[in-house]
Amino acid sequence: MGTYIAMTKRPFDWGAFGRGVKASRCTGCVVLAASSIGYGALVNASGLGVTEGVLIKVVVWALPGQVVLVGALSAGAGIVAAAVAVTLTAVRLMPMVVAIMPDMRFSGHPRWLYFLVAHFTAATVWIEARRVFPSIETSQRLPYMAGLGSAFMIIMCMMTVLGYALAGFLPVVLAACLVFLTPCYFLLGLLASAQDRLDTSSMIMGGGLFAVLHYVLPQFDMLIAGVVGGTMAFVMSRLSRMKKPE
Amino acid sequence: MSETASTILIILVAGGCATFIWRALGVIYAGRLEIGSPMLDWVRAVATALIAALIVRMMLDPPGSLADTALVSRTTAIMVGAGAFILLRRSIALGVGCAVVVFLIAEGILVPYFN
Repeated sequence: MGTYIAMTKRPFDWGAFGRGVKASRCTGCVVLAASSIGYGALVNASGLGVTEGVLIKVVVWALPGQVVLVGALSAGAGIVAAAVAVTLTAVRLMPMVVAIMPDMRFSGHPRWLYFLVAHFTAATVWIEARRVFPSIETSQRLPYMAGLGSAFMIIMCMMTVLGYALAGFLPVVLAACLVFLTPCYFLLGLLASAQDRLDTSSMIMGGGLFAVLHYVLPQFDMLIAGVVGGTMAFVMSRLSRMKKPE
Repeated sequence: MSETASTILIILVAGGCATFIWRALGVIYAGRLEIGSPMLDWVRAVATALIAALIVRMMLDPPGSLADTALVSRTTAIMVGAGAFILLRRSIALGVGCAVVVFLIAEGILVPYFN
């Protein structure tokens, strides 16, 4: 059990699971539902099946990774190229899990439970859980997150199916508008979570580099824009920090 | 291997495993990794740049039905959405709402009118 050992084993308060389920009725849920409808429409527009779209939603459970994978599948990319692109979008989940785990750590419970709730960690669930955790008991936190996460997952799978279906029979302009929700949601999500100049310069570098590379090296534009653009922004922020030490 | 089986394999491996590995590492390293370390800053920068690239791709080379819309409608609408987000209480719902309204006006009324 390593770091999870505590003095006594106390049970989780599983009653909080229901509270987590109820907490899924929040503003974050509305926004996430809209993005899931958009994702469903994107799956349809990319020529994939609805089952594949829902399966991707469940196993990836983070919008950027889902969208990258849908793009890779519809372009007929190989498994390695797809895995590299998806994994690069997912690295950011690690610090999120690192930040939230200590709040849930609780006397000697099997570790697989923590791995299970870690799967629910994505922007909306994470923000919502962190908001509520200080006001509830430690014994309630993991059950709460499990309830919130599973309720969200069920709702978002239904929204994916809805978006997929709507894209099939809505007028073209409205169907296109549903697909358009995804980039909008991404841009505002980036702006909302931007903490410092590093975030802003990474956005500009990544977007700018992609726009150039898209016409020069269309096969590798995404990966190079992400890795090289992000690294350039990172190096710039390091250099400027070195120039003016506090 | 059939088409379906290989698609499912790609989804499970390149989607599921490639994503879950980072969540699992998060559980393993919880409490042992310093928030704000240079390594995590770099990770954040690459992830942010990648998402920005994804946004620009969906503007320049959009999938499916979105490809039938005008580049100017897409870019104007998303810019208005970002502006509205910054000006109106930093609300994602309001920002996306404004972008959608501009997009629908541009594609539903202006583009057909000028064509």
